[in-house]
Amino acid sequence: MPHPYADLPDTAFWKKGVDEADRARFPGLYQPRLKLTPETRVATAGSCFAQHIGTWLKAAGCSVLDAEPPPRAMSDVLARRFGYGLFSGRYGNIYTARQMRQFLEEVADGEADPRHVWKNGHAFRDAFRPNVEPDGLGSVAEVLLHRDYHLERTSRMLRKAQLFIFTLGLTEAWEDIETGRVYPLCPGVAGGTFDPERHRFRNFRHGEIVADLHAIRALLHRFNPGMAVLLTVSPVPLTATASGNHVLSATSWSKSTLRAAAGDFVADTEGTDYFPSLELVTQPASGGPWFAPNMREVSEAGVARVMSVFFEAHGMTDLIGTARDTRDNEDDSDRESEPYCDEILLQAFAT
Amino acid sequence: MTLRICFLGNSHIACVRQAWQTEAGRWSGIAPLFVGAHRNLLLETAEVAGKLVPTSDGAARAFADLAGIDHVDLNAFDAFVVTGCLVSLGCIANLYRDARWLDLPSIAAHEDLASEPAVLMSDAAVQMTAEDILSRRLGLRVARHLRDMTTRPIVVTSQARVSAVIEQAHRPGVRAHHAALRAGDAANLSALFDSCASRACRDAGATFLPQPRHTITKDILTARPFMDGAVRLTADGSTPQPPRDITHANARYGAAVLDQIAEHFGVQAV
Repeated sequence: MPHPYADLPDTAFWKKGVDEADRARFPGLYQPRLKLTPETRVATAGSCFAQHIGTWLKAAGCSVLDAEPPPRAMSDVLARRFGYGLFSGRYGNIYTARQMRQFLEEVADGEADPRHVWKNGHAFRDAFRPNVEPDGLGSVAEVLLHRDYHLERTSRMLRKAQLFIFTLGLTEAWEDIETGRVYPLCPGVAGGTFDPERHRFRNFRHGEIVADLHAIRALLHRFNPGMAVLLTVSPVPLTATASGNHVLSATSWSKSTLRAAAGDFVADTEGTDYFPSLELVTQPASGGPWFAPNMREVSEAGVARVMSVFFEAHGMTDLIGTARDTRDNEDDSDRESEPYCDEILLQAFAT
Repeated sequence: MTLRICFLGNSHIACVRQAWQTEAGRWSGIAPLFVGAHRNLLLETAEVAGKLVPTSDGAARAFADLAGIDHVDLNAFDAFVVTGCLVSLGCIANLYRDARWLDLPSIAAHEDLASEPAVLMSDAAVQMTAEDILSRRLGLRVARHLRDMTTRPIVVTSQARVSAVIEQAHRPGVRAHHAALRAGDAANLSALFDSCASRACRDAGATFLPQPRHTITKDILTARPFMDGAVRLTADGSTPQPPRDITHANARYGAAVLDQIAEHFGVQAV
């Protein structure tokens, strides 16, 4: 009697699927369950790595939504500094599923809360996106006004979105005990003041993340019932951990947990998919190294590799050249091209 | 004492040169040289042994045809004036096409800012963007280019605001001006331009002279007596601008600029 492995495809076997495979393309590694064409209206959010996905999709001519597009006269460098064009909204980095869930709850039903305005000197910051205004704003009222505007623009954007691409970055976050809201950065790092009576560390577990992902999908469907969800896990290691573990071990824990949660969520949920950017960058069989010398930032070649697999799987390989040409048209050799990553601010404490 | 001033500019230098040619005696304290060059040709130059020399055929032709020179002796002048060169309120109008900010009077009247096509920006973002745009305009690039070559004073004069003729006649490219006038935001745009241009010039090692007040109408337009009858930058300076031109000023405006420069440097003007 033939055993169950007898009829499995090549991709099920290491020898054919990896050892003898074209490892530049990894055929069959990503078999999209969701349709993506240049006309699909895409929204992006997530950690630093999500910026690459949005940038490449936009440059390829895909319809990437932008709730708050920068003025045409604004330079690319300045736009990025003020958080424009990095994601489909000016929400900054959203590292955890919990932060994403809470943000969508706020967009759907909430309003800006003065308890989440951080004051440093004369500057006031939106605690959920402390770096989109590099010098802060002039008052609590101004922060709240801009946040309410941001929430409303995001809401309008999400109503148009057909595909939501969310890049999970971290399991660790800092929570405001009173409200339960989690921040993208620990208070005190880029604004605010850390108060152990008010802020507590959270390292979200697999079950919590899966629950948050389901909640995210349900919230997205309130804006557009047909919206599909594509998850990725950022291959970028943690800058720092508050877990008590070595940062290398904490990175492994965090990424493994996110990967497992994404897999379980997608396996159980229609209209969702997972794109293996984590695998393409971090698996030894994938070649590389795809990291910069600090072994944390993903190199340009690594990003290109990931996105080429993505585009090929969606039958849009011919757009890749367009992506590069468009991006390189900038007449500014000094332009900043590194992703804007709030979390990197923690590096300042690693002296 | 006569102040030796080298004027450098693009097509907008024509009005200043024409004013000088028309009534030179009015500014007896100034001994000028007018170096005009179209588009970005002023940047196609380099300093060689204390001289500003063209580095392209186009720049060399401009020096020769429009000023009758093959170089500028940088040590022969007490000051340099960069005029026109897209240091204009137009860059603020471009920003206004796509953005609004809390300082604008029209914002208070809005009940639903998120429904507007233009995005709401913070004042800091607007200020930095405006300064950044201006710093990339030809006038500021020329000022920085010169600053690397000389320690003498460098003044940047504002390009004239667009002609008030747009109030009566349709012209392309000025929808933002019309929108600002309708919304009551024109004064804010004018103030933003002047303050950002001043800072951008200071950062470039230069001094900004805003558009003479009496030539401005409705904050963001230039009164027609200072615009009608402008000439093009040509060797003899007698070719009129096309009838639909709204950006080039006339000799009367040029005279106002010369008055302003004379006052700035404290030299005699009649």
